[in-house]
Amino acid sequence: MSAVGSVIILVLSLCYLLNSMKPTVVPVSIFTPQFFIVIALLLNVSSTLFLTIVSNHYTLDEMEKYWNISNYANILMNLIISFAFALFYYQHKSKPVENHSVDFTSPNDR
Amino acid sequence: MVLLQVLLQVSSPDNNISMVLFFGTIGMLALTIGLIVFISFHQRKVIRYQQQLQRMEQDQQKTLLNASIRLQEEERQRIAADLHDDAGPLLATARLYLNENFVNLDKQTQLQSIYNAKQIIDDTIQLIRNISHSLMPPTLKNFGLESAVNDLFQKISGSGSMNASSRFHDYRERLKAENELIIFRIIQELINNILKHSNASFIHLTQNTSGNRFFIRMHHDGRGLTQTDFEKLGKSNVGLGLKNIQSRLKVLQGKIFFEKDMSQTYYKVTIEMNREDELKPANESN
Repeated sequence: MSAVGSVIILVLSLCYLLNSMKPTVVPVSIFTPQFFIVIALLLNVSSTLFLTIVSNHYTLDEMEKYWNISNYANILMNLIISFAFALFYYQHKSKPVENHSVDFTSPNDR
Repeated sequence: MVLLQVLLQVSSPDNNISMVLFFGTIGMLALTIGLIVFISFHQRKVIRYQQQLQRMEQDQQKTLLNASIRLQEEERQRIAADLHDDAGPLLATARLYLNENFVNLDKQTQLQSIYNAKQIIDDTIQLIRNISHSLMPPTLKNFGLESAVNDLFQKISGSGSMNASSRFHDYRERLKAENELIIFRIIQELINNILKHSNASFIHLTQNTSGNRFFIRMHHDGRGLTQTDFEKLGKSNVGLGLKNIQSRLKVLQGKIFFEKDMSQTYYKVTIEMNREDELKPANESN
């Protein structure tokens, strides 16, 4: 079942990437936080896909030998997702935030 | 490290699953990294190409703007020259006839002076009327593009130097006044170019519509331009009139095509624009 889930994530990630490559009127950078999250998922899924496929053929003791692949893939994915969040934070930090609150007090009251 | 372990397992001949795991994982990773690298390079290329396109478009707009500013300045200079060189001296002469000594002159000379001054003032009025008409033809304002173009072609034909004719096939409803003026100016500029450069013996203009598209076609038998020449001149520093046509067409969101007729005898210029949202009932325009 997990292999099916991995394949679905793989296909959806590829769809996202293909869609982001479509030509646009205004040049838009595809290197957005979403793009890096998809890349992280794609790398994780592609590196553990065969592990999940063959896991049924191994015993738990045997699997422990290879399970480090999944651990390294998780570390890589978390690193890229952290980078994506950092990018999101800095992109929004650089934009001025509109202040919609109105101060009704007169200058004398302050 | 883990993959190395798997590789060691693969080397033992009885472990096919380990081999699948090793090559499968390596293959998938290679494919994914390859895809990411490809997308990155492709995106960079696309952005660079679009930036180049934008730069080219900005340059083109700058050229058109410069051309229209230069044309405006030339027009101002022409009007200033007309007023200064023609109207100024005429009025000064009229003033001379009606100077302070006028009352001391005998009656016969006074009458002669008044008559001369009146003649000069009439000439000045005619001159100012001509300047005003060249700025905004009254026929165009009052009767529309069809009448103004017919009038223009009749004047050219009347000069005897060239056979000029025009025919509007489908112009029941007038366009917006500002668009009519723009089209008229484009036609004037094209005719001016034909008269100046082509050495043609006839010009024929036809107007048609097809669906929402509005067409004006001009044929002449002289030396003309092709689309390549037009595009080349549009990018160069010469051809101010053609750049002006381009900038006017940009306002109309129209197109212009220069081509040689199928028979290779005539040159054809086609102006094409969208008629949608342009339609204005005749009674409204009056």
